[in-house]
Amino acid sequence: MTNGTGQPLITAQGLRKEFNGKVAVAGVDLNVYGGEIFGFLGPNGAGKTTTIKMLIGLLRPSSGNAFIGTHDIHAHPIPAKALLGYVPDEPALPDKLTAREFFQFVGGLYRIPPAHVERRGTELLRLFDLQDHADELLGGFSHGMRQKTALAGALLHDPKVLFLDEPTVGLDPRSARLIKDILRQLAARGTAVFLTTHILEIAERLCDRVAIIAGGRVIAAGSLNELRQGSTGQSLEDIFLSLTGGAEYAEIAEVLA
Amino acid sequence: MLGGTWTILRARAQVARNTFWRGKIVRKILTVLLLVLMIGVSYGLYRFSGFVVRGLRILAAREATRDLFAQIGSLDRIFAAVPSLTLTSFAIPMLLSSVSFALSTLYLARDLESLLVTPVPVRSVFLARFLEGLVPTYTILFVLLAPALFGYGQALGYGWGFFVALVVVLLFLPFLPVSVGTLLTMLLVRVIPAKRLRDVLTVIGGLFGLVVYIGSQSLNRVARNLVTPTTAEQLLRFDLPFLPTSWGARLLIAAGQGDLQQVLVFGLGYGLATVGLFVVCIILAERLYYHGVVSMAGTQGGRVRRRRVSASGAGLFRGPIGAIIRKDLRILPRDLQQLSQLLFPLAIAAFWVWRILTDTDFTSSDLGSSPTVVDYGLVATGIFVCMLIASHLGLTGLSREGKNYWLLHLAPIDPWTTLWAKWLIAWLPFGVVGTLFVALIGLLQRPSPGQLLQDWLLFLLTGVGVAGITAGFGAAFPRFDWQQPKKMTSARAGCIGALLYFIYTALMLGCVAGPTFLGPRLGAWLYAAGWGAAVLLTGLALWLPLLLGASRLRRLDV
Repeated sequence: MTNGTGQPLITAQGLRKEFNGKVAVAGVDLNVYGGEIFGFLGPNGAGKTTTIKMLIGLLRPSSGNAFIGTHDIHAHPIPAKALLGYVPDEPALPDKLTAREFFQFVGGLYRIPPAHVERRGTELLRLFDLQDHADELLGGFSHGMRQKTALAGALLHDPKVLFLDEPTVGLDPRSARLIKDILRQLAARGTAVFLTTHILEIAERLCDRVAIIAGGRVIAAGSLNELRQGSTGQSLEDIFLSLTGGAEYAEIAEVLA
Repeated sequence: MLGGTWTILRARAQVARNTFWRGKIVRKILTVLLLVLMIGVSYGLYRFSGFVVRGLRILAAREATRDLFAQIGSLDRIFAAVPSLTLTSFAIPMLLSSVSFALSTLYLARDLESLLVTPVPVRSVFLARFLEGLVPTYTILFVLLAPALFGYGQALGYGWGFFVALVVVLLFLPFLPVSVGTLLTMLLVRVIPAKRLRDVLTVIGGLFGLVVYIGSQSLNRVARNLVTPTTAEQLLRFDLPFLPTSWGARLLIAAGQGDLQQVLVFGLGYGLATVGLFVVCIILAERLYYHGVVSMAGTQGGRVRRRRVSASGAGLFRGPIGAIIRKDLRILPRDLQQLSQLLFPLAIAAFWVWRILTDTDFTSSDLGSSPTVVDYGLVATGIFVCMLIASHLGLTGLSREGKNYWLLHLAPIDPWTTLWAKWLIAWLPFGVVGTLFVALIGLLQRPSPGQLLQDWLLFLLTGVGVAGITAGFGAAFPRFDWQQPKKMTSARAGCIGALLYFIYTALMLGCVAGPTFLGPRLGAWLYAAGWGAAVLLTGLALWLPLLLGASRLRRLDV
């Protein structure tokens, strides 16, 4: 794994979000550098998806700033968005377009020359083993196929920053492994990868640094070694549970057994 | 089985109660007002039907109108046929709508999977859904039909038996058409996937609405020939004795007259027909229904023939605007549900073209003559037709993205880019259909070339403004959480947009047509001023709504 250096490609400064008086994210500060895979972990409802949406401009923060490279995503959205790609946890794709037509659409939005879209799209379809389904409507794709199509669409314009929300959920082991390999390759080429996941094993094996969010606040951040120094647990799961107060669930498991 | 059914129905009732109690205060007030309105309508129908029956009897007895009523036929026979005709006329739309109802509640409901994995008999799920779907039908029957028949029975002096039988007949009435429709649906789903069947039904529903519209437009021509003093007698032919609805009607009259033998005969027949068919439905549901549900997976797909895209770009529009337009124009013909929304305005266009071509009032024999009111009437008709199409394309322009809107919001494009793309799609009807209409006007009216050019420019310019209003308001008040295309347009966008583009269109016609009629007296400068005002008005109609749409899009959270 490589560690990122230089200017951060993703910067969050005091990001805060309230919904009807309820605080979903209460001031998140983080930096992610090019060449590193950054894991954003937390229990359900901790604020992971809200944070990621503020970072990519889909949600306006109640306060704070988010930068992609040197561009404020909310003040200068267009140059910032040109640098990033995003794959949601459940990608909603146009059901009545084929995979190929979807790439043409995304290519048009990102002003990619059509010939390049055609070439790159074919490469990505082959890479994700979707070449036989290229002219089928997306509405007939399984969840895993949609996930791979969404990732291919996000990679079409060679983003410098890639955001993924639960990228391996619902994927078969082969596809999940493929995505992990792709993320490592992207990081090796200098892309900053920001991913959220519930699967701590993935974070442990893949991520250079992690941040743990609970109750809308980042309660721990750093490399795994740094986190282990501040905790009695050895594995990320132990660290995660001790920080997020999950140890008492063992009692519940005993009752249900 | 009944325990499972009761559990499901109770949960649905709790959902309805919570939706009301936890809803906004405005919604609660509107619900109460709706209830009051329904009570008012019921009472009005009860009084009206009684008034009509009593009034006709009084008129039939009078010397002055006796001859007319003699031509109409036996009033007693006509009155006796009223329950049968009304029950049958209510049962037919119930049958037609029951297929769509069965599809949406039995096969396409979102909670279906979670219900079917529980250890509850499939019949329980089926029965609960069936009964739940009868609620709106019963509402219509007891708000509209029951009061009318109540007043009818009271006016004719029927005994208490009529009113008791009325409640029973109406309670059992929906079982017949809904059971038939449900059985038909379960059989169809074995052959056609449920989602595809829904799309096809949407198109059929659109065509049906079109037939009703064309019928209403042609009514004044047809009525002159059909509505005569003998019409009522001819209507009695539709009182078909073999229909179960007619047995229910005869049961009502027999109960009102106290004829116990007839009550037993028709009551048994009606009960067997309605309840019997319902029981058959329940029995067959176990196999038919389950088979249809498990066959539903993976039916959204399909293969599309690949089109080569040129390396230099795809046609006239490149970049993000072209990408959005191409995407929308690709999706529209493939999505039957959305296409069916366009069917109605497109068919209206075809209908009016046919009317114009066949009606000699629209044809002028004077080549190059001055424009008349009829000329501008044709232009107004064409603009109205284009507006119908444009309002669907424009008001729903952004909402059509639905859950996919994140793709546009995430892309490195300004909201204006999205708006211009949607505006262009909304303008298309004026460019295409409008040009065809102008060609038609040229063919029929044979105006001067200058007048024809003016008409064409009026179409194109009006289209700029109408498309601006519809696209702008559609973007300002989008709805991305729709499940059916009918629910794509928000109420605000629909109401405000519709009002504005009618005002705008009227002003445009006034600016251009007004000086044509006043010009000879007041000078040609008024003509130029009219066009100047039209251009200025168009600029405002284009710019202001799009500005509103852009500012709302910038603040939109996804």
